[in-house]
Amino acid sequence: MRKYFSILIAAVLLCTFAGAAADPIQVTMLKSAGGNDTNIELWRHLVEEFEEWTDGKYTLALEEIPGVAVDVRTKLKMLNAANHLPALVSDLSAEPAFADLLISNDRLLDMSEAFAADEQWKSTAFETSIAFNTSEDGAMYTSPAVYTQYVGIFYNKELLAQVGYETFPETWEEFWDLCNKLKEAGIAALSLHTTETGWCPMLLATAYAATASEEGAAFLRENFPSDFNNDAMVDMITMLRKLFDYTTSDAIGGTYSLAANNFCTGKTAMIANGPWMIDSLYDTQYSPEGFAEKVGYATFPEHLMLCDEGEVYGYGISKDVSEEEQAGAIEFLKFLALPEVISEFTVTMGSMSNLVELTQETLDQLSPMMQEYADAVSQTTVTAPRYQAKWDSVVQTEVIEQELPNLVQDIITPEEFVTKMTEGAQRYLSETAGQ
Amino acid sequence: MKKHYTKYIVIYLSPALLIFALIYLYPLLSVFVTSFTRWDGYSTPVFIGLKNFTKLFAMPAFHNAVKNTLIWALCAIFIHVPFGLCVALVLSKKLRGWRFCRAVFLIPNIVAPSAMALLFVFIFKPDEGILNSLLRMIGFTNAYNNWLFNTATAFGSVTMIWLFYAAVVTIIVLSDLLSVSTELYESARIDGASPWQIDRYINLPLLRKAMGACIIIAVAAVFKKFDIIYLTTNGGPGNATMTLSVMMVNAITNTMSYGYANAIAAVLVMMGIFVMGVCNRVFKMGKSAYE
Repeated sequence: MRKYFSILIAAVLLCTFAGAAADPIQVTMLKSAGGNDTNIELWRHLVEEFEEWTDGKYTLALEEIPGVAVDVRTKLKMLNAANHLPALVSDLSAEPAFADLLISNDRLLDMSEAFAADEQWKSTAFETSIAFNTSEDGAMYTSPAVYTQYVGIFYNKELLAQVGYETFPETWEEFWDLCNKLKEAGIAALSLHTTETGWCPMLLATAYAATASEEGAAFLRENFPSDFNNDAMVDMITMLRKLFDYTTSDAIGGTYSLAANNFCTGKTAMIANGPWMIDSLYDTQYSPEGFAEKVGYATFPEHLMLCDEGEVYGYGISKDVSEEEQAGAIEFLKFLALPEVISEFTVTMGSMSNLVELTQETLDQLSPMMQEYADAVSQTTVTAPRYQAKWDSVVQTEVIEQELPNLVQDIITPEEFVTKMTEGAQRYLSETAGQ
Repeated sequence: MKKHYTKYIVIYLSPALLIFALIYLYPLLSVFVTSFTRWDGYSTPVFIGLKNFTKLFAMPAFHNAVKNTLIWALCAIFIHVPFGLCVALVLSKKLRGWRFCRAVFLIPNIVAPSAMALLFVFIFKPDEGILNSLLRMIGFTNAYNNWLFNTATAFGSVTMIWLFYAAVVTIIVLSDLLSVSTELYESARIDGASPWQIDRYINLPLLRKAMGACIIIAVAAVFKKFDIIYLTTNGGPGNATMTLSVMMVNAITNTMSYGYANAIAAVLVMMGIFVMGVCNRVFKMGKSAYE
């Protein structure tokens, strides 16, 4: 009896180990979930597709971080300190300083060989992005972009129509006229917030700066500026202050989620954001039934949209994980570069690529809002980069987040705010010198 | 005989001392040593002398952070702990329902600080927040203050999140009070002492060491407080609610300046040691209750 029992135990153990050995290799990655964005649904779907594409050899182990992208970046920095980065290091486009640190400390895998050997991957990667993500010695530590997203402004058609605007303003004069008319009608014009790098108000402010003067447009293309003390920036911050005259009272200290919620519940008429928000307008968990039909998408005034055009850091592959996991991460990047996957990003998140022809089937899947977004992109005549990809983290988090409430409450002037931005930038440069 | 005991003392203390050295002493020494270096958490630290400290002392945010930390320490000593003491003295009278009151008073202290912070973000909201709604109900029709993001009220508002939740103090003091011999109270009553005189001349002197311990615990908690600031104001608006712990995290996450962050930590530890030393002397922690 004991002998048969021992054989049974051994058989069970053998099956367990055999089963474990057959499990797909997990490729770890962090992703934000919540914060009024429904993009996590696309990523959950990609987990299944990727495993199928690799015939069960690899699977994407998505760790969902409650919150928004800035929460993912904070966690990545903490994991980096513990030498425990996930296989795929994401969100580096908004933290170029962090990317530089990882590269200079040899924390990321050189994927240049894998990239050069894959014709499919090369065919869908933007040339400008390949150049940007390739170092002087030919190494490639972050993946080149295979799509880009344009950022404009969502607007509530019904609220605008109430004050006589059937289409979104095309000039900044019309924009302010619209805001004034909405205010007179008792409607909060703009969804704004001051935390999380002041994302929504800063999009509007930088869009303004890019069109208000050539000096502003040129300044916004500068990487890690050390001196913000110029007329264009003072003008931009003055405009930033003015925006808060047309928003809700909870904007000061509010988060992006609060701002998005105010728009989705009809409390405000406009919110600057990217196409990744479109899905949440159709999701009744975030917006009332039928709300998306009331919403339009437009370029900023002067036909401008904010876009990085691929000149940003892509995904990195961490050296903290095993070689098998690194190989799996490379496979995932190849997977992301497939035309059919890019098309999925186009349908769900408005990611655009001029290297991938969209099939009629894909075009038919575009929601009305996504078609409006595509129309807005086609009307764009001016682009400017997003501030998150160009400015250091001290300016974004310590200056903008902490001083914006003081600016809005007129405790400091725009000139003083700009001086603090300069001090923050110089402190960043001095503290990171030699790293 | 002594030699015989010494061997066993060493044997039984060694595991605890080893754990203490690994978990406390080594990290503490690392913090102090690397505070004199430029270090990004990865590459080899480069010795730079006192540069981290001179840069730190020159920052206005640091001055604000030290001021805020010290004000919080004073609030802990003169408001938080005495409030807990008063509650303990009332509960020690064992009036009807005292156990229920003790349990209810303990509830905020078992809620996670991060949850408390988010709760108070809602309470302090300008439009729908409970505080402003209550004020408007009682006649302050203009009560729309953004408590956490108005420079004038931000620090006080963040302080309110922890100031009166003194259940730990109450529990420590109450346990000491309940162990006082009842004969002392009987003798005092026979001599005609009023309840206040009993508290003043019997309970308070006997609670000296418990009070000292509570102050040390409360001040230590204040020095390391991070979550409620990070989740409410993150040190803003401006530097109105900045503390050294938030500065430390900012240094790490924004500039990967571990050496600089450790300099902040070293200053925090030295401040803590100083305050604890003062508390020890004032409350005569090394002496018995009757000295």
